Amino acid sequence: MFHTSRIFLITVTFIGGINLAQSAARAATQGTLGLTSTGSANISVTKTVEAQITDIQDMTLPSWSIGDGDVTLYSNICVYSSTGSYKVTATGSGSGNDFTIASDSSTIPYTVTWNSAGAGGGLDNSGTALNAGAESGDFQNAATTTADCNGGGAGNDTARVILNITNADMIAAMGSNTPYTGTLTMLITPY
Amino acid sequence: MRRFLIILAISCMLAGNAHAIGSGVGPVQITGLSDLNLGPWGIGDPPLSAHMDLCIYALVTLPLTSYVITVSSPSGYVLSNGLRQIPYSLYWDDSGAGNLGSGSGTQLSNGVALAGQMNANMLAPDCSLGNAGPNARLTLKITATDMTNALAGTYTGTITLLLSPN
Repeated sequence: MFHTSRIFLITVTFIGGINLAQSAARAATQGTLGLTSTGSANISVTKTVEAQITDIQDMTLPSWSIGDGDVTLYSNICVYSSTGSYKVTATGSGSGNDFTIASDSSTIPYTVTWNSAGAGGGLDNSGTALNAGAESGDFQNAATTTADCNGGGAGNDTARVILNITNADMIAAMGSNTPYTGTLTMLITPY
Repeated sequence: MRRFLIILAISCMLAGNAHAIGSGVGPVQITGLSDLNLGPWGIGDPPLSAHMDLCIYALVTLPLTSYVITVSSPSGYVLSNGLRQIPYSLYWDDSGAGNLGSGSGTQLSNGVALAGQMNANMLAPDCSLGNAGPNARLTLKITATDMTNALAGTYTGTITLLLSPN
């Protein structure tokens, strides 16, 4: 028995902004006529709350055969958040946004795990399990000083998304000449 | 005009208001100050710049219309949000009414007097006579790098402008 599974991911970039602008409570004061004259002014600047996800790679398993065991695919990701913190909402392309890949009417379920160790933090395949369509808990260690993680790459990316398919699900899947494919969409919300 | 200035200077000296030839006489006045509210700023936006155009009045100074400006802020030229800070720079342009913005101005240092500034109005404290209108510009700049490095939030600060005769 022979199965070929392939997952295609479409990168999604999200930029969200919340204006935290505050009006200055005080007003500028003018100088008065005298041997010297003094005035004052208030200055304010607002850095917006925003986020960006980039450097997402498609995850593909060229082929799978009985005995190959569990499948693990991952992509390192650059998550920028001007607050340093964020939440993730991942949705699959299956029915009801389920995490499944499909070939014709056959599907294979997969799970999604998020690792937010940060740049240089030793991204690995451990992390927090995500539920399809549900906003995650709080993640830290987003890039805060570079929107593209200095170009991304393994040493600069700040998160990793990990997909797992169990050996049992692979065995149970119908063999197909058409690859199993799906799309995982990740929404980053800064907070 | 020259006759008026000479008469005005002599009158002030006779009235005992002249401290010394070669130093300021006064009085002086700075008006036209306005708050500078910049942003919101997001990643990819250009560097920030804002300015206020000011009326500098100096009755009689030698050399005529010259003055000293000192711009200070308690914590230095930084905007603060709690312990977080964004640095900024300030520039003084004394090119006079009708010419503001023609040059980049002179960069200021916190609390350091910038002497020898020219083109004050000496006819009206509100700069409505003679070469009327604002005659000095204070420009604030924040680099995109400094904004990028800052965490989200609103950063504030206050500057004090001290005007003295030259």
